[in-house]
Amino acid sequence: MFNLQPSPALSTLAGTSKFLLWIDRVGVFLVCMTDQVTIGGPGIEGDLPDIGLMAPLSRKHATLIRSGESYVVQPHAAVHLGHKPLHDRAEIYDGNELRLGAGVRLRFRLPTVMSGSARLEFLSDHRPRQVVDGIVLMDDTCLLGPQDDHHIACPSFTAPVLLYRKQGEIWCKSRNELFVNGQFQPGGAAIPPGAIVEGSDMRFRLESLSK
Amino acid sequence: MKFMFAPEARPLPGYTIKRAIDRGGFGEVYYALSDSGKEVALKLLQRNTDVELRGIAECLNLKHPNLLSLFDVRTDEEGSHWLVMEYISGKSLELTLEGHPQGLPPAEVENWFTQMCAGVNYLHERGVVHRDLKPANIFREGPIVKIGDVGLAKSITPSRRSIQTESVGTVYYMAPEVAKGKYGSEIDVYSLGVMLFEMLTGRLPFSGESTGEILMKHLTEKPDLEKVPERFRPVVARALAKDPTKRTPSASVLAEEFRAAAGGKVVAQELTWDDMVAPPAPRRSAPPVAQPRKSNPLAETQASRRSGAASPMKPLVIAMCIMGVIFAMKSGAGSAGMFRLLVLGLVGVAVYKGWGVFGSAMRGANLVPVSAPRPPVIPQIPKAPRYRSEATSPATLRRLPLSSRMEDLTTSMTRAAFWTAIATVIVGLNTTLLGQIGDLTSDPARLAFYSITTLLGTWALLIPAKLWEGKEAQGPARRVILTAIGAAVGVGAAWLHEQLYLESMTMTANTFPGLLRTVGDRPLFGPDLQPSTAGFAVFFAALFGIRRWWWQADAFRSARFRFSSTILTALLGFVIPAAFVFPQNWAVLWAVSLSSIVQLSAGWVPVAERSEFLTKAA
Repeated sequence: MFNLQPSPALSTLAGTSKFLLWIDRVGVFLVCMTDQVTIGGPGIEGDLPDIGLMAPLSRKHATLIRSGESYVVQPHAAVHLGHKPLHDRAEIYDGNELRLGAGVRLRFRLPTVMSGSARLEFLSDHRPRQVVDGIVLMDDTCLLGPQDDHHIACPSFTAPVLLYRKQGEIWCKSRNELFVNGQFQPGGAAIPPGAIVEGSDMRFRLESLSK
Repeated sequence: MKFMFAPEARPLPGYTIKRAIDRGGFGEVYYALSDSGKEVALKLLQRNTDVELRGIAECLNLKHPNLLSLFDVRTDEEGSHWLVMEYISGKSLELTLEGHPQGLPPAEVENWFTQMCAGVNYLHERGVVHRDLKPANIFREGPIVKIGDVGLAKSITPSRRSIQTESVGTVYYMAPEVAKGKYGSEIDVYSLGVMLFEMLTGRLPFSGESTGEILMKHLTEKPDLEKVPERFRPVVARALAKDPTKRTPSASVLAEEFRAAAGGKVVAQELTWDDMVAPPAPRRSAPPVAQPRKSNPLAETQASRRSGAASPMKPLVIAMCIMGVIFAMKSGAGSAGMFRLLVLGLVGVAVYKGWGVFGSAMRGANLVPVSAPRPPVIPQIPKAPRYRSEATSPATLRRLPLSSRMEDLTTSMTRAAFWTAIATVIVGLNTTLLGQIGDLTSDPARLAFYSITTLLGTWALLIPAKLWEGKEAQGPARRVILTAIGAAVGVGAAWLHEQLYLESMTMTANTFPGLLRTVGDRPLFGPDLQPSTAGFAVFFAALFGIRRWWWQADAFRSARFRFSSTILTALLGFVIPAAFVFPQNWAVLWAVSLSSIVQLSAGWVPVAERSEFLTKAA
């Protein structure tokens, strides 16, 4: 279970392993920055998974590993890839359905070949304690925009917003005007923890999470 | 779309706003977390009427698995009321329908619809009518469907069937009797019928380009059930009966009929066409109701379709065209006549499209009970596509402190005095262009008359516009107020005109003949061919009431000065004398002057600075 308390001491978002992305009129998304992400059941102490779902799962039920431009899943308990039970590490592709335990169903998506970032969609009703609408496994970039091939679909955006890693920080830029904490940023800008990013038709806030 | 509160704001103790969810008909909705991590939806009630709050209070303790739970009503430090509600993370029916343009699979329809009926039936059994059932208010999380905005329903008892606060409901889902101020539980059954139609087909049974057109279809047109699967047609037809007494009697019966139809049984009674289109019969104690003018609704509706103008605005458009032809003939075949024809045609089209309070009034005239104590407020059809994102505009809600408003107003009024002085000099010098007004430079009285009236008119437009800025627009109400203000300005102008003994506003030369030369028994001009007090009052009332002046004065207008606004206003000044006799040259001059000076004087926030402006305001 990830901790909901923001980490104010962090000066850069890239210094944390995950953050919440609160997007007006869209939802909230968990963005995981590391190459390995563990998925498991809920817990309040000890070695918690990166993604703790409110579901009858092992503490560490499976691990998703980014390897170059592909992803593999490492099962630690009962995991199915589609209808096929997994006993060992297996590569997963865009559109694959992962079944964890008896009832947790997740769909793995690689929305665009232009980015190694992936998205996990919830097919069953299981969510983390802090409900999120989706999970992004962020490689170097994360696209927020109106199309399905964006990592986070934001139908009300008139132009996509690109989040990307740069010099140990998370930056953002867009074809439209962007304001970070009220400051106009014509050429893109770093997003400090807790910053509010706004445009004429959108607003979102990044909140870093400590594990 | 901008929201008043930023992420991490804490308008209510114990709750932190994390993001905005949406803006509904009754206020902004935010996702918030309590200090202990409980997720809730906070709805900022932007109207805060006692009736609304009482309506919410009545529903606070209603409990049903298919109703969105209301937790509390709280008041923030500024006196605004907040509704604390259950948060649903699932999709709304509206979004679900967007993904299924051909309709939902039958199993999905059953899942949604039977639960919707269960929730609505629970409300009805407790004497509450929802009144605003629509796909945007229905949500599903997992397998559970929940109906939202329940607290905004109104309690209905047999003696209060005509309770009238403010008509709600999206016009696509609105029962025909709502236009007559009737709010029985039957209107919810009708809305359920519309949504069932939409879920089965992916289409709305009645759509159109204006509120009036859609309402008229609800009142008179037979729904096209061809795309509805055959076994469900009787169910949908009965739920969409025009006459509430012939409609499916309750939501639970509707659900039963639906299940039976889904199982291949026939339960719903087939309705004849007469049953479906018969207008609601007036109750014994009810005042006489204006019946639709169509004696044979089907035939006339079809005729209307053929003519391409089913709207009740049609007579006005025809009148405009006739006026244009008359004036064109009077002016000969020259370009001036054609120009007048074009202008009238454009205005006719604008009015037909629902532009302006006159359009609303005309539409309402066909629908409102003759002697109803208060006409229902007919909700506006969304002017933009339903899912279009919105940038900042005068419609953007903002919290502006009174001191800020007064400062802006004072500055604007000072600027208006300056620009009026400039305009007066221009008009005074431009004796050739404005020859009909006379040589103003040689007649200071006329110049003073123009100048004072223009300044008075500008201030009279700026004051309400600045007081309304950032607040939720009540278009028709604002137009009514502006009409009254315009009439007062006209009376002031007439008084000034009389004091200055002006005799230069003759009704000759470029003056339109005007279809109306009297209002009631009051002539619009005197024997000296000067406009009378009624003439001035009617002209300014029309000029103020037809244009959406608060957009021209709003700080979030698209540009500081738009020629198109001025030109449109000038056209209005050109056309008003066609209906109400008034010196056309003065009419156009005032229209241009008021539009120009209002835009030049009113404060304006550049687009790039608006986000920061809104952040500070929040």
